[in-house]
Amino acid sequence: MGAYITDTSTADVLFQLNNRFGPGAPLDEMVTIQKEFQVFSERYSLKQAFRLLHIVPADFTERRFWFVFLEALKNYVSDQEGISGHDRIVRAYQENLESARPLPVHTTTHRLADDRRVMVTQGHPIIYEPQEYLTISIPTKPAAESLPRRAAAEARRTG
Amino acid sequence: MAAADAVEGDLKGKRPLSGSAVDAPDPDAVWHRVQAYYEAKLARHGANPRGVDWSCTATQWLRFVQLLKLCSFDTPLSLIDLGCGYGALAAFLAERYPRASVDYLGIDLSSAMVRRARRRHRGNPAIRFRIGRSYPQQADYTVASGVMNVRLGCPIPLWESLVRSTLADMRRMSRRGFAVNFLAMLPVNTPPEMLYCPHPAIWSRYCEEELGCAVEVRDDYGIREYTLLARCQ
Repeated sequence: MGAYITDTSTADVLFQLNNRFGPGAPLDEMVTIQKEFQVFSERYSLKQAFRLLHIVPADFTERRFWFVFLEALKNYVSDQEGISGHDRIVRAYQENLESARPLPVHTTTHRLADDRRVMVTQGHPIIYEPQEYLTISIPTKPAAESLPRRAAAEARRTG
Repeated sequence: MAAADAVEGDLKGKRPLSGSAVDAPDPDAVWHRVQAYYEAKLARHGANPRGVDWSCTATQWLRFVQLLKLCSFDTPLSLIDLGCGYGALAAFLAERYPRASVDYLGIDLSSAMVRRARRRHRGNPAIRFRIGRSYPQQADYTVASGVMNVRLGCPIPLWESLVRSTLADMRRMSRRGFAVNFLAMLPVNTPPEMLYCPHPAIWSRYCEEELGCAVEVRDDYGIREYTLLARCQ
């Protein structure tokens, strides 16, 4: 995410994602939304899904870059051969929310330099909780390394 | 208009009602305050779910789905949307029931909301909007999403008298039935005096005993609230 949005916005959207897909009432809400509208399916891109769920950076100027990032996930690889990072995330949400025993979803990041793939796993990412989660981990570059390029590209775009 | 599942913190800094709205049972002062609250939301967020105090489009749609379970779309119908805000339900109807024939009338306290609604649905004669709290004529159905939730410190007896008269108005405006939702519990970190979360039995019994309706309570749709579907008998 660091290549597209600031560290503050990354923390902001991770917080929202982990709240909205957290255990208990939030997860129930997401299961119902999925059942009723199939927000995570081939009908909607991640960008459209997160728009419907209003999972966006609080900073208005960052929202465009967040949507650009969500679209860019189509070019990321994933831990499933031949499946893009974007589709891997959509399917992970869909299969989980439509399963007989949906799990809360924990979204996190890992260093792009260590692994370029979007990873989906199941386990206990929050060490003080016995709760099992579906974990989605997104390869990320520190914003400090990437944002100067974004600024340069933006400057070129606006002339 | 809707109600406060959105920005939990938003209600924290609000001052409860004061002056005439509390000292004297003045419904107009209460409604005026509610109107100002939503107009501030609209000014801040624009014509979108946040602008009527809902957290997102998906939860707003979930509520619409419940309210519309009252209606039969097999034949043409007329619908009053009380507290229509910027007209989101009219757009949802077109999307969800593209073949249905619905004569839609949205009513809202706020002229700013009605202006935005009219702009969004310009050119469609089956979709109309009016400023107000009720309407003298009947439609097949009346629905209201979130209009009972934000009481902004209004004392419970006064707020409940407003709920009672609003439900009676909805009954009077409806030939076949009306539907309304209520909060089942307070969102986290919300001052309790700002919102209204009654037990379902209070208003379902009122609709049955005082308004002569058959009432179905729906509380199984994933959000911490419930919807009353009141069918006229």
